[in-house]
Amino acid sequence: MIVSPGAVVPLTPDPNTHIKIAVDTPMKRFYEEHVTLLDRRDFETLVRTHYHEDARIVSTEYLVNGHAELFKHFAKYTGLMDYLKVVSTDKWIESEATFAFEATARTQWGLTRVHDAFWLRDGRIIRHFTGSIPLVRFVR
Amino acid sequence: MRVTFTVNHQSHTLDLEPRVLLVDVLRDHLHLTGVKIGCDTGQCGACVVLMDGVSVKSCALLGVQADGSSITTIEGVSEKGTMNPLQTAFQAAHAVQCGFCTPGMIMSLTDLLARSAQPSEAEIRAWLAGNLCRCTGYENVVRAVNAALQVAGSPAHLVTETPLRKFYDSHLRAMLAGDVDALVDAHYSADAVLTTFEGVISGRDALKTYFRDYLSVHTDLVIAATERFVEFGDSIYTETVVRSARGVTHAYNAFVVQDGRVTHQFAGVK
Ligand code: FES
Ligand code: FES
Repeated sequence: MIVSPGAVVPLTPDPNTHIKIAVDTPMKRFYEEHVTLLDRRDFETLVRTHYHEDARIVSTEYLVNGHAELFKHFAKYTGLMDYLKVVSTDKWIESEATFAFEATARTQWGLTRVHDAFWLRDGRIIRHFTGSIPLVRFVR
Repeated sequence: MRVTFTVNHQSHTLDLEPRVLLVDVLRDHLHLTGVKIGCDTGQCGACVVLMDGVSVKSCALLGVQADGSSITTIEGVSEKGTMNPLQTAFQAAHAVQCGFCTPGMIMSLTDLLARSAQPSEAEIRAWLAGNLCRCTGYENVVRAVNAALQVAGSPAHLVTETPLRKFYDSHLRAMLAGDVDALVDAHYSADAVLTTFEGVISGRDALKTYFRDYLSVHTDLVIAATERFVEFGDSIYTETVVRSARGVTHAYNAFVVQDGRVTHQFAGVK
C-alpha cells in the first residue's frame, strides 16, 4: 500500500499487504492497527489510543516524551515522508505485554530495515524503542 | 598481568607489564591520544580521565590499577560525535589557546559538575588547582563553565557517568566476566522480561539459564565497539559490535531500568 500525503486510506489494511500476518494475536492486531493509523496519518487516534500519556519513544535520532510531543513527532515524521510502504515484516516476537519486529520498509529515500520494540501497559504503549538501517538509498 | 576494563563504554582485555602507567596504556595501547602528558609526575593535570566517574591523573596510576573499572577519556564525552555543551562553551568563550590542557580541564570539570549542580566561581577555581594552563589562564575557563551551565539548562546534561551509564557498564562487565549470577541478581528485577526473536524469557531463573546458554555458545565474548548509546529517563538503547567465537554481530539492545533493575529488555541483531 503506497500512501500519498493526505490520501484517505481505509482503516482495514490492504488485503495484499505483507503486514497482514497469518496468525492473529492481540499484539499483531495492535500492530496492524498501528501501521494503518500511521498510513492514514490519523495521529490523534494513534497517540490517544496507542500511547500512554507518559509514553516515551527512544531512538538514536529522536527522544519523545508524552502525548504533546508524540503529536508533534508523528506530524513531523510523516510530513517529511511522501510515502511509507512496509515491504515485509521479517521478524516478529510477542509476549503478554511486549512485542518486537524487524521489517523492511520503502520510503522516497530508499529501502530501510527498521526494528521496533514495544512495552505495553493496559493495552497501550508505555515505552517504544526504534532504530533503522538504510539498505538501499534512492538517488534523485 | 591480564586486566579487563571499560574505556568509553568499550571493554578491553590487555596483557600489561605491571610497571606501565595508565596514561601510556590509554595513549599507546588504545591510541586515545586526547589524553595528554604534560609533566608525567602528577602535577599538571593534562592526563586527567574519569575512573568510575571520579577524575584521576592517569600518569599517577598504573594500568593494572584500572582492572575492573570504567574509564572515560575526552574521546568519550562528546554526544553522537558532536561536542557536549561544556566543550562548545570552551570554544565559544575562548577558553582554549594551544589546547594542551583542555582535555584534562574538561574531564576534571565533568567530575565537578557531577558533584555540584551550580558551582561558585571560587569552587571552580579551587577544583582546577590540579590543572595547569600555561597560555589561556583561567578567566575564560570559569566563564565557559558558567555559560555551559546556562546553555545546558541542567548540569546533569554535562555528566558522562550518569547512573544509567554506570548501570550499563556494570551489566556489561558481569556479562563479559561470565558471572551469570551477578549479572541477573544485581541487574534484573525478579519478574524481568527479556524479549528476543528466539523467544521471551521471564524471571531470574529463566534469565540465568538463557545467559548461561548464550555464553556457552558465545565464548571469548568481547564488545568490540559501542556504536550508539542513548539514554532517556529510565530507558537505554544501545548498538554494539559483538565479537565471540561465533563471529562478529551487530547487536541492538533496549532496557527499561526501574529502581536500579532491568524490568524489560529487548535484544536483536542487525
Ligand atoms: S601528565 Fe599527569 S599530571 Fe601532568
Ligand atoms: S590552553 Fe595552552 S596550556 Fe591551556
